[in-house]
Amino acid sequence: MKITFDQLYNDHHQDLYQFIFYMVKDKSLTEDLLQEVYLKVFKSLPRFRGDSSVKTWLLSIARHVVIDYFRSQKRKRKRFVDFFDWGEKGEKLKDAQPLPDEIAEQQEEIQNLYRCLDNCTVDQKSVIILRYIQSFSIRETAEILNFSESKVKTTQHRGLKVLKMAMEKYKKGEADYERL
Amino acid sequence: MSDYNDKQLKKQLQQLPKITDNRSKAVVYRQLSESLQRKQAAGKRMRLIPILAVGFVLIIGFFSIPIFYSFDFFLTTEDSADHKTTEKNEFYDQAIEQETTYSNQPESNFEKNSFVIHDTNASEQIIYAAIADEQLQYTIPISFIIRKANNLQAAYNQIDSFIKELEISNERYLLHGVTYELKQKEQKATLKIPMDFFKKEKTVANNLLEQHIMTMFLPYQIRTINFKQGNQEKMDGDLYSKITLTPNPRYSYKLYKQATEKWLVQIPNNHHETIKEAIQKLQVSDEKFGIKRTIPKDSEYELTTSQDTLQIRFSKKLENITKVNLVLLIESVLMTAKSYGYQQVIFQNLTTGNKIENYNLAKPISVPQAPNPVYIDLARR
Repeated sequence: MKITFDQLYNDHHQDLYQFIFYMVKDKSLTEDLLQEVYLKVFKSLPRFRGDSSVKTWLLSIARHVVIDYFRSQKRKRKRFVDFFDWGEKGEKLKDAQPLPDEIAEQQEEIQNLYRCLDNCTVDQKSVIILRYIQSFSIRETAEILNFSESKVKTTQHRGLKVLKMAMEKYKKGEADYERL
Repeated sequence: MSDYNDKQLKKQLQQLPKITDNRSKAVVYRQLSESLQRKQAAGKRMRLIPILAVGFVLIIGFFSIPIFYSFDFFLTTEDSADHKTTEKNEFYDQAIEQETTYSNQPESNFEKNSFVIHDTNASEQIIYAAIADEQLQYTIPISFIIRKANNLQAAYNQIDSFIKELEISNERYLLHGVTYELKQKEQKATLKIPMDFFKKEKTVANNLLEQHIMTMFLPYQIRTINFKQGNQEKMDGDLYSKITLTPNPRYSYKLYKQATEKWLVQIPNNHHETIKEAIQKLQVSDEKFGIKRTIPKDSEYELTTSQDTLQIRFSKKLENITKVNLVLLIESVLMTAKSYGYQQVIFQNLTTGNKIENYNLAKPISVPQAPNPVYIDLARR
């Protein structure tokens, strides 16, 4: 079986794009990170032994790229915060991305849910996106994230709990994008 | 009472819209090709990779100016079906089939099967280095054991030659060509980077670079890393001019196995991940990247901690496990515990008998000094 760029694009590009987008919530950044994924795939392809499906392998790489991006942001943020004296404010930097069209067209509850995803940890968000937005099974999710199936279930449960609390808070008008 | 129940929430999650990339395939391909062309123009040649005969045949042809679909990457397999990871019965898939062999391996049988060094002699010193796995996803720490040097800086500047002994590609040694200035008392180091080291666009291994630097310098209490390129004190178009290393990084140490290579590999943990979670990770393999579990996936155990001691008590003794695999289990737990600040580990009910190679399970075992020792120019007794 030959896999060409065509096939990777046709079979997996949109899945990768969607996963990365829901993790980082910025289309331009998603394009950049997806390019990194392709570059990694290009480098890694000689060593891919086919021990997993191409899809799970690609999504694993995508997740690594996203996590590395978050780590680099955390590093940059720390340096930025160290530089400025926040004094009384002491606020964390908040993302101020406008809603993408696809979300802005949805009902308010769905928009709130989209915003509240940011209250989840990276692991919780990964599980929720893979399970409910991309419809992977627990087993597939475990394979992509290299979790045990029980860890997927636990993480999923915690993530849903965090989302529930965030949605309720939002509903009561106490919207707070700090992690709960 | 919550306004939201799980069922309702799951349904709403499923209603989140599909987000699609509106760029055409041609545009994506062009941008990718341009990125690769920039790499090539910067002096990185793509090699024609020969066809591999181990179940997969791979050909990558990269021509000087790829134009749209002339850039292909191929993966051919004998099996046309999708490959899925299969859960095997052996608990880590024959992770250790044979002894590790290196050209400069010490004579002791125990040390051949060991992935750590506990103590260096007075005449020895460790120079810490790191390489990446073949897919550039993870950090493999390497501890070069050399004759004690008067000048630590000079020793670090020999790392390139030490790495050569491992016979791995420079691609996996991210700091190839870098030279070092160390100021140990000030806990600082300056890395002098070759001019073409960082490319304009992101490299695929930037993320690993800081991990590798941490592995190399934290053991010598070096916390601040400055970078120099030529006469500039800043990198060319990249993030780094100075970084402060986060002390006490936490890891789960598993086995990385690829062809004849076997190393302990560092899987980074977040600071909120507990020792329990870190040890649980040792029961999970990731075949896609050659990462093998070191504790059987079905093993049950109880962890207790007391100041600087971690105790792991297995519910059931491990039977039908080779000595080599037992040593690997012990050492991966020891290194993981070490990264969490523990000084010793007590293993209880692990297996029949208390003596496993040089480990006496009847007593607490001190955490090792370093992982993946490689002896350079030494005849170790």
